[in-house]
Amino acid sequence: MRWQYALIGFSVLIAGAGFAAEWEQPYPKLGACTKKDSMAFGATTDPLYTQCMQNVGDESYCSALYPPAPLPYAEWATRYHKNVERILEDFLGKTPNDHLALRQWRTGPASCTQQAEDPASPVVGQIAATLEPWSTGGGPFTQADTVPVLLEYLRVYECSLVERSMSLPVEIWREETDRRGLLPGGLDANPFFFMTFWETWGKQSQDIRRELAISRPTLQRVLEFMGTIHMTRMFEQDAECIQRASLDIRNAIALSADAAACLPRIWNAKDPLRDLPVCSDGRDNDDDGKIDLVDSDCDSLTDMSEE
Amino acid sequence: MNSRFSIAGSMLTMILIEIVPLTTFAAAPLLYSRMKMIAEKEELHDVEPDLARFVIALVKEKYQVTLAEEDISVAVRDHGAFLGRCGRSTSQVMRCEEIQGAIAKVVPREERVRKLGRDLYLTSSSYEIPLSEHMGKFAALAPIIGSLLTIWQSGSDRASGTDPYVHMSAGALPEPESTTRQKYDDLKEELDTLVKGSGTKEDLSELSAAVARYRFGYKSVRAEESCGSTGSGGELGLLWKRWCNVEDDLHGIWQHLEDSLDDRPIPVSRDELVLFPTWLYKDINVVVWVTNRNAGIDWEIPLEPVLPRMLDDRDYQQCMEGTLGESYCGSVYPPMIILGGASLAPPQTTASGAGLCNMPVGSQGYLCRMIEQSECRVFSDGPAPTGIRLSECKQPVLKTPMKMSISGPDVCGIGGWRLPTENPSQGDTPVKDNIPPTQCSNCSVDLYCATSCPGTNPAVAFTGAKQSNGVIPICIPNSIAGSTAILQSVIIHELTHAQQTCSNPHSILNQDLNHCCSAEYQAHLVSCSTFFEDGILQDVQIQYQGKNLPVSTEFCAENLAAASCSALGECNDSPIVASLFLQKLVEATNRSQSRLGLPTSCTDAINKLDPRGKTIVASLPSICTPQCRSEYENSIGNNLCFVGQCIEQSWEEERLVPGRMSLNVGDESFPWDSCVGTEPAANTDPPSAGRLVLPTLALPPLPEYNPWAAAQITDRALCQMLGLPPRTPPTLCMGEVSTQLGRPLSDPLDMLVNLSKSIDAQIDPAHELERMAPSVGTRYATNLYRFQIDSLRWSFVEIFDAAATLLEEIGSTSFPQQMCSRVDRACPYIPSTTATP
Repeated sequence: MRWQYALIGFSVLIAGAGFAAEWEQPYPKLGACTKKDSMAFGATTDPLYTQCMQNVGDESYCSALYPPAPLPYAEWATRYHKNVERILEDFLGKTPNDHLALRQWRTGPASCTQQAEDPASPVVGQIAATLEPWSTGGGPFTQADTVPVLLEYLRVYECSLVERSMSLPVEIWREETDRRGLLPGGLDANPFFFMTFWETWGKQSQDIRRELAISRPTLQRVLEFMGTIHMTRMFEQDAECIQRASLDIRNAIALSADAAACLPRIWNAKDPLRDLPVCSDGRDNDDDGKIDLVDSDCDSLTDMSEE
Repeated sequence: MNSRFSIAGSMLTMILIEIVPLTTFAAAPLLYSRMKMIAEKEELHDVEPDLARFVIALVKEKYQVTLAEEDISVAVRDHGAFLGRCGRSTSQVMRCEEIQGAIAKVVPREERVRKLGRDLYLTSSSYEIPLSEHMGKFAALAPIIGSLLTIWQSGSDRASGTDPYVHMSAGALPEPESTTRQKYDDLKEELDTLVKGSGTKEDLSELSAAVARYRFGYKSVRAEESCGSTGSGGELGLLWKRWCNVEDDLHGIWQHLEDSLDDRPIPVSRDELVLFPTWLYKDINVVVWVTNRNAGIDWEIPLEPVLPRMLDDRDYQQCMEGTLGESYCGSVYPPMIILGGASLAPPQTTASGAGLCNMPVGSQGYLCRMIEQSECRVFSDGPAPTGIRLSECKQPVLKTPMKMSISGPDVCGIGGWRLPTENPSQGDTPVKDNIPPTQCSNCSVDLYCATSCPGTNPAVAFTGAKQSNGVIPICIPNSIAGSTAILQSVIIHELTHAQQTCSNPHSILNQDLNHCCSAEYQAHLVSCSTFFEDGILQDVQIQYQGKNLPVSTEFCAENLAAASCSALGECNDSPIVASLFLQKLVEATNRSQSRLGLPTSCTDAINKLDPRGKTIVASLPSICTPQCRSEYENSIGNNLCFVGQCIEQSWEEERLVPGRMSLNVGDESFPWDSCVGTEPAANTDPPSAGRLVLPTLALPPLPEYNPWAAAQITDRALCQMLGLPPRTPPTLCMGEVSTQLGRPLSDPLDMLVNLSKSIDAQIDPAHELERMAPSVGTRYATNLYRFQIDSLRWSFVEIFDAAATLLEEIGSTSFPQQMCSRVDRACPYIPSTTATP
């Protein structure tokens, strides 16, 4: 009976905490979340799946029985921040020589003759594959796709944090029980269970608040920088293309200059090259045996029609 | 059991895999980590060390309570915890509540200022990132633009254009690599000492001040008096601090790289700028740039501005460098609190040769020099608009025409763009040589020295009229205003006059005020460009209304032209007396005599003719005369000079239409020439003669850098989001609660809740706008660049269009089949019904 009272009391406590959490958390305005959202941070193999594979060896059977579990909460933040960091570093470009500032962000020379968008970091494609809008495909991803993917990734991250915070005690209870279940025998009756539980609850609650507070401003800064750099790279690419075009133009104009050296001679040459009019060219133009004015079809000085 | 251990083992391995990169991550924070750190500083109320020290000093002064840095963060985050900690450190427990309240008010206010400072820096860096002129720094446009200039510019532009030319080349880091690396490592060690703390407690104030100090090179800082300076007082006092070891290390790097240029096969020329690869210290986000002239440090990506200093602890720090100890120094030299509330004086206009204007490419920007009239399409008039005005166009410099011509545009007729190809049998000596021109030229010049020269003023140089044998005598006096140093530029000026009169009558130089001013202005523009290139113009110290005047090339040419034509009238309305300007110019030239190796006598000046003068002499011959060679540097501008001069020479000297000179429209000897059939040169529409007029180039106008307008747009957006008309300052919009008060609710509690919500509703858009501001900055910068690039592109298009039309016409020249009748002067052939005699 005492256990029942304790259970009821505990349920009330959880409900109260969840309600309080809902009102206290600085939640961003987000779309709908599901518990599956956290799969975006990757999945871990259930230890029992490994056991199953060792014992049975049937992959389809084992995966159906012990499906992959979402990445443990403790790794969400690390995974999220590391992925965004990799995308940003890939975007900035690698420094082939570690001590030089030159960053190689393009795989080859700039394309000046066609509209070619630079490919995004491979991490963008990997993340997009785990997100709902791109789950059915959508690659290859270009630099222009990086921003929407990152924004959706952030939304999912925040959603997952909010979703967890709503039922934090339940989640911790379940995880702690699972964890304890894997420990060597005898520790199941750990008398400090509630102490660990409360401590974990407090810490995770604080971590979630912290992550919700910093993730969005940080990503906003990242996107602003990426926007600026993307813009300047367009100019850099334009300038590079103008530079290449200028070299071509220089060669073409140099050839024209060579040709232009003949200009005075061309103009002067026009004079003697002209044919005389038929009535004064001293030739029989129509094979009638006569020339110039006496030629039968040359009626006057202006007659230019003799053929 | 075994399986459990194996699972635990595999989990341990997984943890280790995750930990390894994290350790690396912590050792060298990458850009993302730095941004995250800034967000943590701003969002988590984890009070920054310098702010915490400021608050500690405030509390100590007012309440005589000594708190620790950690206490300040606790006071902001956790009221109860602070009371507990406070109670332990003071007997005035009752005042702890008051102290906590004061801290909770001060810290967010200061944090907000710092956040705004960082956001502003982020916004402005949107503009600045691509403007870097350091080789290898990403997205740096300046080196590419320098290369474009080399490809496009003609020698004529360099001589007479008002845009100075920066000759850039790339240098390699010297071998052995270990020695070079050691130099850079020494500097890194020094910079590391400027970073205090780590993580969210990282204090970058010293490093950011050092970057700001040496951003534009260490040499100008080193030229200041004492190296031991700890800066001045006040909020921005740190900007004047000097870090001697950093300077020494920068000097060591610069010297090492500069020495390596001695091994270069081609010596570095006087005006050459050698750019060395930019070194990167990734973990502290700092780069080191080096040229053959200077070296400095800069952020790779600007994230951290120099924030206002709140404590002046210079004396304390100096004391701590000794052996007196913290307790003594802390009591004798307590940190001085710098209270805010007073606006600093607005920033001064960047002085010539300082800061950005000390950089080779940056100094050519419109922030560092006067806008030349030739670069302005629209002249501003009317009252100055409210707000910041960085630059503006000048009014036209001359009252008279700036350029006059009696025979077409005279393409590249001024300045030297060709290399010497004709070797005269006898060189020009300082005495009268009278060497006649070769068959390729209409004239030759004969420079000679004399005590007094012909012309109205015997004390100044004089270019005589072309003699019957084609020689143009140029008399150079032994000195001008007592200076021999200035003769180098005087000769260049007189040689330009020779260019002007080589195929034209001498009277174009002085027949009236208009001709005189325009001819003298063009000739002085060439010599003033040499003054600018040699750094003499920047040294001219002339004052107007108590302030030093920045002297531009045009300003110089304008005043010297006025001095040259003073006998005929006034060329300009300059408030500066021309003779005074000349005197100051002579003084500045004399100051540079030994630095530049300027001539010590007239003979010296002619015997060692400046290379720029030699190119002018080389550019005298007619370009397209048969059997004559031409040689020039292969640039688009020079090639176009060649094509242009050939076309012009053809129009002026050759018989484009049989029987008459093409431009003598008054010649009635062969009136039927207009009847000639499909003669491309005569009957094109528009007439191809029109192509001899310069194309209407769409010169890029000044960018509309108008931050005040941008701020107003932002203010208006904020007020609009709150449903209010624009107000300045926009805080007035935020503080508006009258809309709620004007619609009272029956329940006072509802009214109160509604009022508080209305403030929230106002703050939300304000925060959104604040977050949006850097993006607005990016967009604004995009428009700025797009505007410039668009105009530039159109200039290119028009040049190509004009060049293409000319070349097509050359290519499509058709030769008529009939000769014109010379018997009865009637039109021999009527090509179509529309053609009329």
